[in-house]
Amino acid sequence: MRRDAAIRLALALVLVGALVGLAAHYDVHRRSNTAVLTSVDAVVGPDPPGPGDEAYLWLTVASVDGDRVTARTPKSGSPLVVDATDLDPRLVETVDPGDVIQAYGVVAAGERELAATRLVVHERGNRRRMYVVSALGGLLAAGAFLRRWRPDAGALAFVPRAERPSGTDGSDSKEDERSG
Amino acid sequence: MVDLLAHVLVAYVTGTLLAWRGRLRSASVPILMVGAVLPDLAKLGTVVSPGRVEALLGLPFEWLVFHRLGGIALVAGLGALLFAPGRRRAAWLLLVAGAGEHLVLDAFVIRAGGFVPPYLYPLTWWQPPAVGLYVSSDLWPLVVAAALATGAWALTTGRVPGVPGAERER
Repeated sequence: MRRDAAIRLALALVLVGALVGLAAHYDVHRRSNTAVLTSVDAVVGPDPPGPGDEAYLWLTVASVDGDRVTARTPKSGSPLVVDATDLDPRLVETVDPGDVIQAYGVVAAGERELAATRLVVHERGNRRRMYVVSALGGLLAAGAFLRRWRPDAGALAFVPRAERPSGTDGSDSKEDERSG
Repeated sequence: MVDLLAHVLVAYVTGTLLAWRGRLRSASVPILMVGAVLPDLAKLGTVVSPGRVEALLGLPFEWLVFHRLGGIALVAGLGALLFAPGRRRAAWLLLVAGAGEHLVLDAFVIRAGGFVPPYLYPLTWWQPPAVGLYVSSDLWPLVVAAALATGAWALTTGRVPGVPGAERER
């Protein structure tokens, strides 16, 4: 049992290390491997885009002034303006502070401005509902799991609730592996 | 992405169908449901910014990797370690399958950029065209998923007259 725990701990450390490495690799190589800029920091950060670069961003609206939508930019603190002049005014009229928008367009180099050609609006109220419903989803998954599985202190593992304690019968685990 | 409840309900329906066909034990269905939650660990980025993690680790960091195939495989590996040795492989497969279903549903989200994120990273940076069926905050995908899940639950638990419940038979 101690040997298995040690192996598990070692494997967990390896997996966490690999996860951190993968997250670093993704962050470093994303910009050169995707067709458009997809992070706010790539647009308003210390390494600004060139003229004509395209960007597709998910943004939280700070304020709206006619065709110009100002978005929050958490990393740099400098505002990013989405120029919606070329879009349907009826769509732009639906945008309110606090909404989340998907904006696609061309970045004006060095101006922290995106000339949008496509816009999708997620109303603040709908977003809030989505977060609440999503929390329910997490609770449902956790509840369903704990209804059928329980932690076994002896095995330091989750075992099916119907199963006898670890060490009394090893046949169930083999059957379970075969049938998934 | 669709809300997490819809993802979990679709995983439940899929797992229940597989259980009916004898491809899955009913006790394994919740593992599939937990797998459907894994990609949304990327939302931790709204609580702890990548910048804070970068400052802590001294390395670049992007939470979105949790919403990519490579990150899912690794997180599922961590999850599988919580099971006894004989069950880890099956648990890993179920967690990855649940998360894979999450990515498939997310591929149908309307995207202003017109393409799906590179979900298969690190195998490839390929970004297929977005199908654009719903926005993430739409209610109707949840309604459909809830209706299907309710039907599956009613049939499984023997609440439909004339249909013996699969769970009661076991």
